Amino acid sequence: MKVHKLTETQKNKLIGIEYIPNCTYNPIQDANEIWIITIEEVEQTTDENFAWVKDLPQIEYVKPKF
Amino acid sequence: MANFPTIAIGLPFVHAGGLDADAAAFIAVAGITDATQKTAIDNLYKDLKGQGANNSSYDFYTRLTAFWLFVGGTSTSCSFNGKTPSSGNTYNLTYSGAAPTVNANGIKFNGINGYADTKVPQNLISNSANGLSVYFRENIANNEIQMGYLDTSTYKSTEIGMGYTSGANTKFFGGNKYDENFGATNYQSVGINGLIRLNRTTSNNYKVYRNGSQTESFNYLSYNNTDTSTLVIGGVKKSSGGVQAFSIKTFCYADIMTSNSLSAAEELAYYNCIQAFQTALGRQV
Repeated sequence: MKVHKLTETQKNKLIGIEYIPNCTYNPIQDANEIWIITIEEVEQTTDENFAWVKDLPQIEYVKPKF
Repeated sequence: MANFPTIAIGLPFVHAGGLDADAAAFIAVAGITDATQKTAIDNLYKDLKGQGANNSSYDFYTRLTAFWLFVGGTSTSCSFNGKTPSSGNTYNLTYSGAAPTVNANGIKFNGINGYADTKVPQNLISNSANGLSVYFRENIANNEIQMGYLDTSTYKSTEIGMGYTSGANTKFFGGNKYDENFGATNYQSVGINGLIRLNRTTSNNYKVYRNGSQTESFNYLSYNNTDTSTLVIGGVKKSSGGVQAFSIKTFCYADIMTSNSLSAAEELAYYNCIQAFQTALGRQV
């Protein structure tokens, strides 16, 4: 499954931000401690201030251990 | 002879037309228009109040702090707290991560980063009497938490995790104001889906119920923690920030009782109420 890769700075810009009504971005770290958001969050972004998420590189998601 | 209307005007808690007043408020705020859903919601409220066909003995409604019906087919309709419902209710859900998939069966998160925040602070939950419930459809083992809070400095928690895979076994993995514990039951043979309740009956005991029957009993003294982090549905909120152990289940119901527990007889009656609601909506398991 593909997800979008974030830098630490980019992650901090997204925390707490609503990308659709009543739903905020939730950057998480994958098993390799890489910050990611999902394709759904990127595809549903319409705010031009956050249009940069459309350019985030895609990587394969590696589920963190429980 | 004239036909007089039989509207229950003046009866307490009954809306004109026979709807329970709180059910009517929920239907209005959630924008429910489907007749089957309206009837199911009304019957659930009456059952929860001990005034229904499936429960005429116990008032669960008063004991509930918050509950979510996951009905109506949209993420908005699923967000409203059923207890004293309103658009401004403190415990209306907010979503984070990938938006949930919503259909007639309920609400499902993506298992990567999606969850709903209940806004119920964990420190509001009593150390001597409380309860948490989730009702989900999939009988699929997965290393996940369906609902809860975790103190990451001590690994004490208030969380429900059904279907954790441990070796060859499928286990309950969770806690209730205590350490995360594995249950003794192997749920591969009995199943993990349906109504799962975590019930702290005393400061020194908590139990797990599945579909009205006790499956686990733990004699562990509860801990006190003043952290105001909130419980989430679809994972577990960490005291250190963020959420982990994301769930892939389809949720049909959830609740929190911050300071009340249920007896064994009440657990069965409560299950009967919730199961009747799910059956009326055709999504029971």
